[in-house]
Amino acid sequence: MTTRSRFGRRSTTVAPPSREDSVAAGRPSLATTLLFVAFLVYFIAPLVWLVISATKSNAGLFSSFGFGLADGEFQLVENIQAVFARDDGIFTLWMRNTLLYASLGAAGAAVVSTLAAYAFAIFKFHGRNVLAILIIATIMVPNTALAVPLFKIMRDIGVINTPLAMILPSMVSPFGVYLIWRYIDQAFPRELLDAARVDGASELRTLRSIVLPTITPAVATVFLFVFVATWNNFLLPLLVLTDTQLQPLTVGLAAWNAQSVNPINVEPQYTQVITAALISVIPLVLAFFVFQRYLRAGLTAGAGK
Amino acid sequence: MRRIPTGALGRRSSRPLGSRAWPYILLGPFLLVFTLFFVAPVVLGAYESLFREGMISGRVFVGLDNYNQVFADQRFWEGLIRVLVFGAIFTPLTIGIALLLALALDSGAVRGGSTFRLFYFLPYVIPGVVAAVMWGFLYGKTFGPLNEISNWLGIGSIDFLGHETALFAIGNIALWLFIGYDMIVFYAALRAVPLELTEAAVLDGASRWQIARRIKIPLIMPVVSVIVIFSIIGTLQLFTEPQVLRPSAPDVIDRAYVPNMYLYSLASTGQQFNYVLAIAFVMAGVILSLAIVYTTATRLRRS
Repeated sequence: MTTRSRFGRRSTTVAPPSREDSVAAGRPSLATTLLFVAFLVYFIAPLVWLVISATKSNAGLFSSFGFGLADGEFQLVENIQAVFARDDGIFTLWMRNTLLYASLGAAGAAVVSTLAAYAFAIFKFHGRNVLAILIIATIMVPNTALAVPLFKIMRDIGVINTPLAMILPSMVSPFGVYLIWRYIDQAFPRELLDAARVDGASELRTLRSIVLPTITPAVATVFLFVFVATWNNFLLPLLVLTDTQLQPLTVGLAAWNAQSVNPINVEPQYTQVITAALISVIPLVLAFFVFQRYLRAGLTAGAGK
Repeated sequence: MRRIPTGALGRRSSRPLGSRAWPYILLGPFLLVFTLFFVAPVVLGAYESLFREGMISGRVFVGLDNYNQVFADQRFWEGLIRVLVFGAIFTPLTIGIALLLALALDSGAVRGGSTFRLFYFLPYVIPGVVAAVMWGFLYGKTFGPLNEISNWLGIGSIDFLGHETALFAIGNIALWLFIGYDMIVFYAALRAVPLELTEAAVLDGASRWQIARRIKIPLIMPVVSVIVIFSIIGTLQLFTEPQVLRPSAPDVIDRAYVPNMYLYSLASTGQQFNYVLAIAFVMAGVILSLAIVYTTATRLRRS
């Protein structure tokens, strides 16, 4: 959509400030606004239901309307305690595991992608084009093709059922390399970097003191993307982590859900599953509101603009 | 080491030897993880898919036999057709709704656009597992609020996870998760459409819909295409939602409901591993061919 040149490109993401006042901007219409409110309800109601239901007892779930509180009970604290007490406190372990896998995977991805992107953006070297094409092509490879072979290779090299089985594959982010590479291309006139290096700055110093401060948004975006993707991953941990103690929240929650749906010799603990689901999204929702600007920036770049 | 810049190419080749190693040093960590956890599994996996483990015969090279077996596998086909139907319905639906919402936001037809954008985008960070667990309860027959409402309205209770309905119930979760994401991307692309183009059209008396169809949509088509490709790749790998909902409706959502579930159920029992690899590569082939067909089709239509 935009012309791309070696020395950076025209920024297209910033719209003119007068856009809202221009003749092209239509007047707000009631019908459209109502439609948007309807969609807002669609997107938010399930989460509202989750919060309300986390305040009920099992009996309260059955006796009350889904979107209303149950009469005379507010069991949120008790439910949270029950979640953390269940199965000798395994939920705490799952949370810790998820946090560990997501943050280390994301940090690793951010570091290795930044270094690789810097190499692509700044240097001409043998095999550069072939490597670039290979890496960009892999953005399209479906995870399925990868998950099963990964499972096999991890079993062979013995990292299966260790935290590394989740962290190391999460660090591979061809999209991250591509994103940061393009960002460097856009943000830096080549002459500036050349000048810094001509003045005798070492490569790592140029990267650290000149490039890094400017590309922080791109690096943050890659971190957030990999963080969310790893936090949400289900198929890979299901395959490579069979030890319950090592599993992340997604796998644990699915297991509790299956037990509550098909209880064997126990009373189904719906409220615990609901409360656990609520607790497991709180960190993500908080992070979303704090960092949504970066996430959006990443999406826009990801759409090939 | 001072050097006089003599243009990009010349300068690179005139740099001291030590600096030629830099790109490789910088690439090293990425290439290490990329090779170990991406290239190697795929290459070795492809190789392994040409063998078969037998109880008595041991490991035997069987050529493309595993692949022939995949193509003859009734359970694989049922799952594949199901995800193809699923993709054919829900990819256009998600993208269509997202595009309409983005166009409405961009044309200023809604007040409070930034609030809508924020909350529509929120499901993007909700893990598929949590979304499926949550919607599973919402669909529930005993205390699910959707059935409470339908009963109150006198419609009676609805079996959301029945034979005819389950695929749509799963599709609804996918819609819920991804409309906002797609909308944000389209909206950002629309913001980049030069204002002069739409203003000129308005002065010529074009309606909002005409401007959208004739000017805006063609201009953001490259972005739409990227989203279509990623949606094709994503929907055909459908796994999390049906896998999580399976315990709620085991008779409807069987172990081979979608190809990825079939893959998982075979892989987790540790049997016929070479065969599982063959299924994975066939699926990857189907997905990539569809993505390529779509890309070629749009390119042909444009030229």
